[in-house]
Amino acid sequence: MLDTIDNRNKVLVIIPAFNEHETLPSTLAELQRVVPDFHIVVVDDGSSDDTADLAEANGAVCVRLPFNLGIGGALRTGFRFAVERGYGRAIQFDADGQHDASQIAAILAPLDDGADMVIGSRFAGVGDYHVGRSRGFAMGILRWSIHRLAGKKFTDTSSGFRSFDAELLSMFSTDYPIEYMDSAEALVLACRAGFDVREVPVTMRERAGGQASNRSFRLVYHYLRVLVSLANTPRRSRAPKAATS
Amino acid sequence: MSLRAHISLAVLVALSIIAIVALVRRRHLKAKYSLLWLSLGAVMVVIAAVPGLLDWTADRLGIWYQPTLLILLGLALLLLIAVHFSYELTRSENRTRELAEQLALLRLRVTELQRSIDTPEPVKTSDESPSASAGVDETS
Repeated sequence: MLDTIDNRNKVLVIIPAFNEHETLPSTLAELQRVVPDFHIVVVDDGSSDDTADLAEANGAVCVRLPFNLGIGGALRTGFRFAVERGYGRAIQFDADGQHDASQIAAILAPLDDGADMVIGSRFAGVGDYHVGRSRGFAMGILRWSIHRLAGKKFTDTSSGFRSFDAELLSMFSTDYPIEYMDSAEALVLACRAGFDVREVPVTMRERAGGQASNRSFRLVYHYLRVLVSLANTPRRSRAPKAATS
Repeated sequence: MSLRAHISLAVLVALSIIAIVALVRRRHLKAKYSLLWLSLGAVMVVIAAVPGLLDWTADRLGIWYQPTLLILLGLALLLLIAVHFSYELTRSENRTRELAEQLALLRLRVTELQRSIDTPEPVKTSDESPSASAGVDETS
């Protein structure tokens, strides 16, 4: 349980969860059915309900944050967990039932091909996921600025369905954007650090429970914050890739 | 400024400095933060103590209504202090987050260890053979 070497060839599923009482059990059941040999860690982001207990009762390991850090902080904790225990790969998976476990193979495959991070995109062709017009417009603006900064086109910059290799996990375990809309920032950070970030089309479901954090004034605030933050992402050099593999 | 203004300014500044020093002595204020406030006080002391100074400097700077210089100076220093606080706050928040994350992971570790002590049977032998070196075999 505590040794780390044995995890090198294992995949860790990281599920950040904040008050996901309704959907967490079914999400965990789905994962255990579809990918039975993956390890699952739920990062309870200071929930006020019984999310953490539910996670443990349903056979997941649960890291309990003492207070709410936001999605970015919860994820960083998950990455830290992955690095501490020596996992070779990790997947980020939402607790709200939006992600489809049968799509996991699709986002893992490019890692074998040398990718460091793979984003499951709702808009790259497969599936029938719909967003409202204003949300779509806002996402478009963000997509454009990310294109400029990352030097690469992505169709779904806010997707929380992603896979990571060990090298990226190790950077993200200390340097993950800790606030809301973390995924866009993470994307740019990884690209600018020279990691190979790819996107694959996936199908997703409409969220089954919980509520999307998209109240407009908050969204505007976070937009501005993200834009400032993106514009100031350092162009850093990634650690020289040792002769692994 | 009139003499009366100078005297009231001097009294005000003296009281403020005494208050700051008292806070530092009671450890309610860290010395490093008090430095900022004390330097603000020092500037005010000089202005209060040397009657002609403010007017003279204002004239040199081409400020038509001299007392505005006082306000300008105070404002500039306050802004500096506010920026410094934002900086400290950011640092402090980063540390708090770091602590929360480490705490959560350690808490899990402790629970796991406790559980392994509490279980009567020895630590479960891993499913794979003892030294499954994960397939990566480095032969010389």
